[in-house]
Amino acid sequence: MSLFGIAWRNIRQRLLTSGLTALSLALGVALVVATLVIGNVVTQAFNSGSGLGYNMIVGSKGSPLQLVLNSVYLISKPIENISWGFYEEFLPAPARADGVAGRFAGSVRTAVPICMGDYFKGFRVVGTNAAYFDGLTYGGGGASGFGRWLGRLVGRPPAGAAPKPFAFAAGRNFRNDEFFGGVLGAEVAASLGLDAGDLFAPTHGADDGLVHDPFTVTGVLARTDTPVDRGVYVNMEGFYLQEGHAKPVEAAADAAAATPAPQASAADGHAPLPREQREVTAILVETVSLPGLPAELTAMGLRTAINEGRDGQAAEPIREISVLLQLFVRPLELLLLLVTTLVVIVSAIGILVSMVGSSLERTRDVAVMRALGARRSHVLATVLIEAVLLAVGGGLVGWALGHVIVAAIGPLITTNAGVSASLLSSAPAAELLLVPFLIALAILAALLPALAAYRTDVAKWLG
Amino acid sequence: MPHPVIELEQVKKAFAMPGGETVAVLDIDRFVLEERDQVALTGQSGSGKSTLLHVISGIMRPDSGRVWVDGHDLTRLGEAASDRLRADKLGLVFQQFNLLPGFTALENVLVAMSFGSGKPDRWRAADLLASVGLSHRLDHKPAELSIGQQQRVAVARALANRPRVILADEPTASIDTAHQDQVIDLLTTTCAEQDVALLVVTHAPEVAARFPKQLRLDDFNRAAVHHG
Repeated sequence: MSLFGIAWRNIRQRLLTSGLTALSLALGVALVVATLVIGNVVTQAFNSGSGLGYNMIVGSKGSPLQLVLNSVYLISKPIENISWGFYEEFLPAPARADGVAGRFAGSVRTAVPICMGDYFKGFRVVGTNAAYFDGLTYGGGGASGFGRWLGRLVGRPPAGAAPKPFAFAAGRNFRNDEFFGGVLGAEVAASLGLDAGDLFAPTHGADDGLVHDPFTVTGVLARTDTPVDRGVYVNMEGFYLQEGHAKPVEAAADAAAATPAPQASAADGHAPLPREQREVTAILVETVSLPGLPAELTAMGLRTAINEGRDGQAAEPIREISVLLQLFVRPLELLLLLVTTLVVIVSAIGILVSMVGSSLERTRDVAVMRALGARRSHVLATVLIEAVLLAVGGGLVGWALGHVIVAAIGPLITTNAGVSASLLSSAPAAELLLVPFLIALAILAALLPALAAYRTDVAKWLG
Repeated sequence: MPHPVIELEQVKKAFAMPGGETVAVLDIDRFVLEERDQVALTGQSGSGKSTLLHVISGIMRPDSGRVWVDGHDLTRLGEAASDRLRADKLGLVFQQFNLLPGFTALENVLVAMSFGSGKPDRWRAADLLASVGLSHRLDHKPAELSIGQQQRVAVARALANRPRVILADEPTASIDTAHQDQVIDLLTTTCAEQDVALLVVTHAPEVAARFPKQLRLDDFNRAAVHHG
């Protein structure tokens, strides 16, 4: 019979005590795993947002962080709109009705408008134009959590740092003249079971709001592992035609005198909303370098110019995300780390108490084994193996339980933080370290009772 | 020329009392147990019988003198080597049997095997238990066995590593008179069959009378005089 077998027998002999020790450890580990996974998922989600195809967001005056949370992560409270006229200041001459380039057009490579406020079965609906998926990219700011970890491990820059164009898993992008066309993020399509060609009808303001006209899914995006996966994107021309979306005009005369709409009529004959009745929630802007100026200075100049005006504000998402990570996520991670450390200490004390109890109960058995020829190293190893078995057994159960907890509260996290968490979400680096860490912890906790067993006075106990 | 399985020379052992006084327990000029000997060692309570067994088995070191087990000088060995020698050459049977309560009869024998030089042999362990009439109790834990059956397991366990000698400390002290004969028969017969020497410590004259050779510890332990 091996020392492993003897240790296993000892555990079975005290099944209730051993089971309770392993269970308390399992609960501790489950909490640690759930904390680590959720922390990793949140950080990963925020980091994924840093890989945007744009470097500036323009929206109404107010909190720049809220503007970023709304526009990039599709979470937080809705924000006010800005005027269509202000949006047009970012457009080049050919894109404007008056044929004159906007004030900021020279500093802008791409300006994509977004309109928000509608929902579809818990997901945010974003009204935009075809340029969102044709002109922007994603993934330029860094790899996912695992990619970063792997990159660090092999000492190479993280994979996935190059910006990628959006790809479609099914169908295609909507055209600007397809007023009632829409594109679904990968997660939306997967969780709602929708595919290209299906119809969906957004609701106004909330999930239980007024039901709008149906849109047709022209395409489903391939997974990007960014917040885009959780978005429902519709042609903003169709979005504008829904009830409650047109900006009220003060007099019919004003409406009659309205300048022509910037978009030709739809292929199906729908007339676009006049420009005076249009608003946008935000503009996603990709700046260019002005002649003789580095890109950063161009962006800084544009931001200053916008923020000094009264029409809106410009926020740099990378800066806001960084502030968010430093002010909110990092302290939260530290807090979670503190909690997990306390849990680990409590778990270690649990093992220690159990092993001390076990050793006291079995002092005579240890003496008998020594009398039968067991070396001191044998009894020391048996106690340590017993502790490691309890720790690894409890740890594995706790690991599985932790993932079940993450899966169970996943929908709650998604609703409140806009982050997707499932049974398969993980914190690979931390989880890989879990087993060796538990083994070290068990050995540390069992060292004292193991040494007591090591020093057992055989003659005294045999009488 | 074959050497004795146990040989003691000029062995002394004393214990310090809480008051600082030192009490001599063993002072033996010479003691020898030959191959296949079956000896009953008697003595009054506190005469040092158990201490002598502990010294022979290496559980306790003498203050001076030499102890040989199957030709190996126990007093010159380190603790680990002494432990290994005990596992390989000596089989111990205790007064309270001291079976491991969480292990089955078979596992109690296998545990003893695991500390010896050989590999634990499940078939041999089962054979040993069969030889003491317990082939139908292999998977029973001590609490599920009668006193007599527990003692049989203890004997099988003592034989696990093919020892040269079995040391039994008051093996009949905890059982009734009717079972005493059975235990002594089991020990003497089994040891004779397996060519193993047997040294049984007992305070009961009727038990000692069952052995061909009887020794009184008081006769050769000079320390016994002081507290006899």
